[in-house]
Amino acid sequence: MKLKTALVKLWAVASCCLTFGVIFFLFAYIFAKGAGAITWEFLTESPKGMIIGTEGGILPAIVGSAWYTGIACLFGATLGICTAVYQVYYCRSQRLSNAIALVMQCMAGVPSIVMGLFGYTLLVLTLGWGKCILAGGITQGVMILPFIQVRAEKALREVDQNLVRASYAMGMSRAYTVRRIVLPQCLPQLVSGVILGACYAMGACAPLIFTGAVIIAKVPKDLMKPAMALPYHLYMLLTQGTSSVNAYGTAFVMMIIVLVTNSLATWFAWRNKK
Amino acid sequence: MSDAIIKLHDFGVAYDQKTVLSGVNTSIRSGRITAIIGPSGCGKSTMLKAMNRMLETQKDAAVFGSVLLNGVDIHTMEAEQLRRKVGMVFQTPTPFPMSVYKNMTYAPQYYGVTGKQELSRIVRENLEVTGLWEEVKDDLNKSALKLSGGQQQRLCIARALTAQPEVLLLDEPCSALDVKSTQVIEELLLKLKETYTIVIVTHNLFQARRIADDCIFMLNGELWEQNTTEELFANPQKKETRDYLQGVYA
Repeated sequence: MKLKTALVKLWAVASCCLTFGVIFFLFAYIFAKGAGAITWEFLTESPKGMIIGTEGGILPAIVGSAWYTGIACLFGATLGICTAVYQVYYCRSQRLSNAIALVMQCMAGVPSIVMGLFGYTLLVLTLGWGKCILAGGITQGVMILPFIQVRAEKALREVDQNLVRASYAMGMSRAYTVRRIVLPQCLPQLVSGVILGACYAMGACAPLIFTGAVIIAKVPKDLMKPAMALPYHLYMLLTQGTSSVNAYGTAFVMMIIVLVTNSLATWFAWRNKK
Repeated sequence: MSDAIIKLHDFGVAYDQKTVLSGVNTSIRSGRITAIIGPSGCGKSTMLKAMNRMLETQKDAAVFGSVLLNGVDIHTMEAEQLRRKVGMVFQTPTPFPMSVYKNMTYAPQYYGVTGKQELSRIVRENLEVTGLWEEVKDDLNKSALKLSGGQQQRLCIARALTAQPEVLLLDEPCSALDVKSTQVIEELLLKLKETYTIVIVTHNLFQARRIADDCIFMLNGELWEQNTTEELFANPQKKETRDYLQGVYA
């Protein structure tokens, strides 16, 4: 029995070490390879050089990614949280609720490149927007919608139902109860869900290939124009063999942004739990 | 009984097709405290929750018969409108996780009161009624969760009063409180019956005897006996009532 316990313990510790090891190696490798590329110019200039990307920086890609991610979050969070609120507080039919859950599961399973194709067909071609930040952002928003919805639904279901009943018992409407009691109660989980969704969107390249990302563009100022994006820039630098140093530099910047936003989400959830 | 504010006619409730309450015919008299007593699982709380349609918030609850509030069938009214008139306080205190002040302005703001002075007046008046004002007047912005259990329950009563109900339903409001807090709440209820009609579900026979004017004894999902508290305790008509009062079911 003692041996069995020790083996289970060893297995658990070894799995932990392996997971942490892989993550540490990944970060260390990218940081070691990419940190050298990071200069003030790299962060504040546009890509330059005979072959674009060999010199200069990645500012338009950073700003472009921020735009894509911002729109994706706005779109995904609004629809995701509203769907969750409907499911938990308004939907009376179990069948409809199951149907929504099924649709969300299917959406979550759609490959991101197919999501890109959907955005391309609907937004770029049918609506005639052309490749632009809005089309890319919305496509990414659709991609992270189920991601946010699942987390929001879980958070909403965890709200103390005694408080909700106490509010109803005073004659308050569902809308008022949701706005004043439910949403403030699960705000930390909602925010951290949206931030995690943002990280997911920030790193996704496939949905942007057909809908918004371009090889070179100025710092974006118009939502109806295409823009650069960090993952697409990284993809181009590597596949075209333009500059592996700058590719690692770009990856480094992306990982820093993801790390910082993830830490922010964790901190926010932790602070509000206290 | 001409001054009945709530009347139940052939009232019954089933959860998931299992009948838990049936054939209830009764009246709740206005301006009095009515206690509903009976052993666990006899349908006391179910009957209480039916009076402001809080049963509807529970899945699979089906009701039969009718409940009249001032002669109007409550199922013809909007649930929100009904619950404003018939407020409810639960077994465990349910202060909202916000300040004492915000707890107290929660309902008035919903009903459209916006002026700061008017809100402050409502907060003060209702906290004074429940005797909480002196204890919290300097800490109105303190989280309501930091109050003691007894204070939290009085806050919940005060908060229910901000909706200006006619009837106040209380579901074992003292069961989670100590003796001292229970005493304070009982004194409060005696004071409140001058303005509100009170219906209280209680396990505590002494409490029913101390504060209630009328008493309803429930058994096995049926209304077994109803009378004034004095008469019911002194001269129970049915054997089961007598047994219960003597502690046989307890």
